[in-house]
Amino acid sequence: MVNKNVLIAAVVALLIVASIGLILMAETEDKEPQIVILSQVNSEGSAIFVSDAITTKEDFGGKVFATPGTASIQHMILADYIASETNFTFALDPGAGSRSNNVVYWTPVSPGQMKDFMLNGDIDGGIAWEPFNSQIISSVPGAWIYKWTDEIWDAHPCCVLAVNSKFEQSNPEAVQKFVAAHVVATTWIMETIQDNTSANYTYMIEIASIFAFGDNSTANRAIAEDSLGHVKYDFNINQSWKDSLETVIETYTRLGLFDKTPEQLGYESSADLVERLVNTDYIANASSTPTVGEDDDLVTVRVGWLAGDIHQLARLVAMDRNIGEGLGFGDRTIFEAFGINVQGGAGNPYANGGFVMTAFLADEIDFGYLGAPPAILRTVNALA
Amino acid sequence: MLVLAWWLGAVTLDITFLPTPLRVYEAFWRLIDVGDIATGLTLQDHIVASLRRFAGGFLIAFAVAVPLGLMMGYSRTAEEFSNPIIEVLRPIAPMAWAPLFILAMGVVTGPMMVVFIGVFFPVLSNTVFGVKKIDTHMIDAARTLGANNLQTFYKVMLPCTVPYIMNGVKIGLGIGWMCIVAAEMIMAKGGGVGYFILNNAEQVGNWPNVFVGLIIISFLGIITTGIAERVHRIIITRMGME
Repeated sequence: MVNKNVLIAAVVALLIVASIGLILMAETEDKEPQIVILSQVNSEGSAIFVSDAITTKEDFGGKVFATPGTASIQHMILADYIASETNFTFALDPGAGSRSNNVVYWTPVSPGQMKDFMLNGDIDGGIAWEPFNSQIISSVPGAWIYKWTDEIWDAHPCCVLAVNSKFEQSNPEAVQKFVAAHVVATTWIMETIQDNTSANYTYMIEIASIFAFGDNSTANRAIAEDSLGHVKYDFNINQSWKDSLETVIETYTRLGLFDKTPEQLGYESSADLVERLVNTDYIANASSTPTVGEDDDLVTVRVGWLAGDIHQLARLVAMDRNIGEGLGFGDRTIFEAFGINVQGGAGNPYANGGFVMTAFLADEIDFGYLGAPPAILRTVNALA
Repeated sequence: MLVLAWWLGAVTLDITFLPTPLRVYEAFWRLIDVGDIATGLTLQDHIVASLRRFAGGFLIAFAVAVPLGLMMGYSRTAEEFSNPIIEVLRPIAPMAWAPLFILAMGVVTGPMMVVFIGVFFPVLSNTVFGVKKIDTHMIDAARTLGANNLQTFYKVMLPCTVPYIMNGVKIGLGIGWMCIVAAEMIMAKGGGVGYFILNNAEQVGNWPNVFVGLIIISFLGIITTGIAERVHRIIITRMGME
């Protein structure tokens, strides 16, 4: 009779050998990106603001700059600017008493809080999306815009509309409707912004002010209006915009933020990755997408967006009943007219694009408005 | 076996959030070689930042909880005065204080004070318990031999309470690590292991780095509680309490 202990040992050994065998034989399947970029939302519209203690880039050394977070386009532009235009290094702020004049420090701060950080003297400057730069220079004595981001990188990509790729595969019609609504809303903004005497323009400034600051006081309306002038709204995706995404990928590769480069992941090049990430079919078919009847059922989708980010005005416009009515959709928003019922994702609105990507990966949202860089960085690292 | 199960799970589940041990190992060496590129700090910077906050919070908690516990255990008046306040504050989770401390005391002292709360109550409770467990015959004997109140306190009560204090320290150290990592995730200047984990998870999406952070916390926790355990053993051996 076989000894019981020998039998147990044999089974355990077999399990270990089988496990090791499975591990060694396992081949990583080709993974697909978890999101698909459907449309541009805006380009440009961010700025480096500084206190009056800074007059030139030589004064950056030893100073603390706020950024919305490592994955944001703002952080990437500032990091790249410091690396290419100055002799300073760029590092997380270690706190007062441990700073060196050879380093430019950054600290993560939600753009909505940057004004208070400036007023308290906790930071010497920062980089944010609009309307917070305009707010800071109008509220913080001595603060000024060092550079608008388009002066550093003309027509740089910023926010995009993305969809969970599984949702896209199973609900292409809903995706088409969502994109069509986004195109109508963006077109409305692009037209409205041209005529600052129209009632629509006044209304757009009001909703932007309420979204960003919680009220439409005269002062906040003025800031919102000023900030809209710094943002370029567009939904189109052309080759030049795709090229700018390649630049984002190459910058992240150069900065070493990818766990594995696109080439290591099996893509032929950055351009190949961009082609896999971006789908322009929905934009192409948007103009022929019909609206739905008023009694038709709506498709409920979960959407994530950034807190107070005026770049994402199209989402706000597409959810506004008055604008929908003005466009002839009856008592419906643009989204509803295209058969979409928008529901904020869990945790919405998000502090930055990294959090929107987490919501995507955790399957908390179907659609997201976020910066192109966090979409790319998190997607590539998720594929590694 | 744990590593094997982890590896097998990572390979079979094949999900983004669960890297294989090999990738975590590679990430660790990459962090040692080139540092944490996302923050511009080294891995050592993050560890030292966390250790500093942890040590600061722990030392303040120890310095306050031990004398207070001895007083509460020794004096009924002190206990009756302090107990209502303690009992009101004790149920509040340390992390609930974090936003308040960080706003009120800043991003350096704030997280330290969260550790203070985490360590304070276990050390205090154990110290009070230790004083109350002292055999009254020992105190009577000391007094019969002519010891005054101060001598009784220092020669009898304090030494007899040390093993209990050390039990509180060991519990407090574990809670302290949970507190510092969570507090750093809310806000901390100069990095820290908690911040390193959060930034890699939420911003960069580098999951092997996240696991490196988790393993570091585990090691630091084991090392600190191991040191406390060693000190405890030395004390009880020297005091003949084994």
